[in-house]
Amino acid sequence: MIKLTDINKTYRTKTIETHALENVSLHVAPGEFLSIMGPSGCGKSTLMNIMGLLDTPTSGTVEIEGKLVSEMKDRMMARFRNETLGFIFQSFHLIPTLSVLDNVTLPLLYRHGFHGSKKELAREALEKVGLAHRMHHYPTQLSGGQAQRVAIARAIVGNPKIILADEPCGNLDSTMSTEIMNILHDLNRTEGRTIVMVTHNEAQARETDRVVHFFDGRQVTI
Amino acid sequence: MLKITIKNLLRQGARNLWIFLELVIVTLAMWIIIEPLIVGHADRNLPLGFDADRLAVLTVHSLTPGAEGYVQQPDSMGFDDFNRLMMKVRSLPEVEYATPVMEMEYPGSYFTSMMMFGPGVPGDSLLRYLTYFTYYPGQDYFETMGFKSIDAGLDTEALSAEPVSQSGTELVVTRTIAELLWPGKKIIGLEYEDRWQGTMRIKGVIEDWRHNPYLPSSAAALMPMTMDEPLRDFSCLLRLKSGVDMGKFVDSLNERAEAEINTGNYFLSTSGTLGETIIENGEVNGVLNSIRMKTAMAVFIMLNIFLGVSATFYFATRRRVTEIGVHRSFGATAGKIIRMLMTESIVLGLMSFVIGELILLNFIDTVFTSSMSRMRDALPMYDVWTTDFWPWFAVVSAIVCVLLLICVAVGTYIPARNISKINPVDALRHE
Repeated sequence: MIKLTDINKTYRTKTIETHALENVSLHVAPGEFLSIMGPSGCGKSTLMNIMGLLDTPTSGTVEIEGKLVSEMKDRMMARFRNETLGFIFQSFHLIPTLSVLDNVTLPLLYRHGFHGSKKELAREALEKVGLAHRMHHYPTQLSGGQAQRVAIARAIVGNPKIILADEPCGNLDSTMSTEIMNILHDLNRTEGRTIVMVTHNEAQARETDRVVHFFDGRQVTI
Repeated sequence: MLKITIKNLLRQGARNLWIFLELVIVTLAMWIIIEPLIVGHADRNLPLGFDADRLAVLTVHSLTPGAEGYVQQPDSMGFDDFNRLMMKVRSLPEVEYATPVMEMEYPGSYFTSMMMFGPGVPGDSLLRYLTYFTYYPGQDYFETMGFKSIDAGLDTEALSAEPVSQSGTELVVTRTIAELLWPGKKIIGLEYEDRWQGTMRIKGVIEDWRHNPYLPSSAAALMPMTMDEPLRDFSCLLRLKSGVDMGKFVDSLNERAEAEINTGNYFLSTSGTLGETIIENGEVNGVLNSIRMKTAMAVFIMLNIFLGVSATFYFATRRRVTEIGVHRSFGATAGKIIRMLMTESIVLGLMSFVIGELILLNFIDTVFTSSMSRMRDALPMYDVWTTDFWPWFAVVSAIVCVLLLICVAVGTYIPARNISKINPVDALRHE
């Protein structure tokens, strides 16, 4: 489903060159729940961003569902991202001026050729995460766990095949983290979605299908 | 998408409030700055109501006793030199009609001190000023000016030739004056009491005309005067024949004056086309300079407004970097981000405009009557939108709205374009 080949990412300033990723090759199978682990600054978020087409590699190729996305122009990439990928961020990144329902419908606003009921799909997504009763609330009225659940609903509302979660439990306590992980596992097992998760938490990582370790921009285990 | 954009805009509440207030003030400021320019420009482009293209103006002076070349004339000569001069002018091959007028009392001059209170407009408690110009019957005034009588009972030539009545002061009014002051009445021969002039009698009615494109449009009447003694210094209006080159004719007059115009103690002082004379008078009286200065000030202030609004939107947009990153991560293209931000700004601009207009309506009487471009208490010209409240308000409002939205759109577009291209990763890290 996801194939990264010889990915390099280098950040250059006038005086410093930083190799965030060096010759990373990674293959994620359909329906797999993959964890990426490593110390801070090892390049795992950079890898996630490249996988999520939010960033481009300095060299190397990114193939998702058989399509060479690293060659795509911005507009095609945006469309592909909208249709194929869903994002869950560590800081939730809900838009505070929109209601929970409107936040969840966000990906559908940019769905090309969508003619259905956005509100209906958003409601269904919120029901999956158990927050349909809060759909008219605003993000500031939610707890951290609830906010992340809304973010998950937003990530899945467009029915993407792949979900990228960048430390989804990073800002949550253990109880809420467990709730979130349960939802993610549910999405993986019952709906067959491919999930790639960046995490610092060993226990959470062990529950996934596979764990990849990174160190200094390089993959140290497969 | 539009619903969410508006919801987002309204929920931003406090953040947008000061932008909203700024735009309301900008709306009011724009009104005050550009209304005089719009109305002044519209006024200047109104048709004069007579064919000014073929009119030339000669200024004729007479030598004073003791001046070099002065010829002592016996009193019995009376009008001889004056009449011979007018005959010479009318005999010029290029001239179709010619008429003498008191010096400076021709269209385009700033001779506006001769005003009087007219009778009140029916139903109006305000007495109005009525500008008037004098003319001399029997001197082809109407033919020269190109005025046409619109009263079926009296044709133009007859109106032009009819001598001044011995019974009182007479007036040739325009269609506006007749319809405003005496709606539905038979006008010719109608008498009324003027506050200053006493009993006035209407002699004729002509189409509306404007006496000066650089002054606010107001109705102007014509008063026939008897020339009790020959004019010493006067202007002579010439209507040239079709096909005559105006510029060449006027340029040739200085050389031809001695042989073909100057008579007795009368001599040609200056000559020019009416158009040139109107502009020259505008310069001399400072009107054109005043227009230029007002325009320059308006442009300067508008530029500052534009920069202020742009800066406001620039900083407001930059604060939404993270939100833009979220949109981008879920598939928004740069174009959609720009459209979203600009839609918000334009909706905000429109809301501010509406509130600004509602505030303005509370003070609109003051704006309307004390507008720099409007002559207070003068009888307006008929069918002139600048003196009719609702068309004036609608046109100026529409222009202010468009300018405001251009200001807002350009002010938003530049930061929106920059922010839409930001890397989503950087945007999401932005705090």
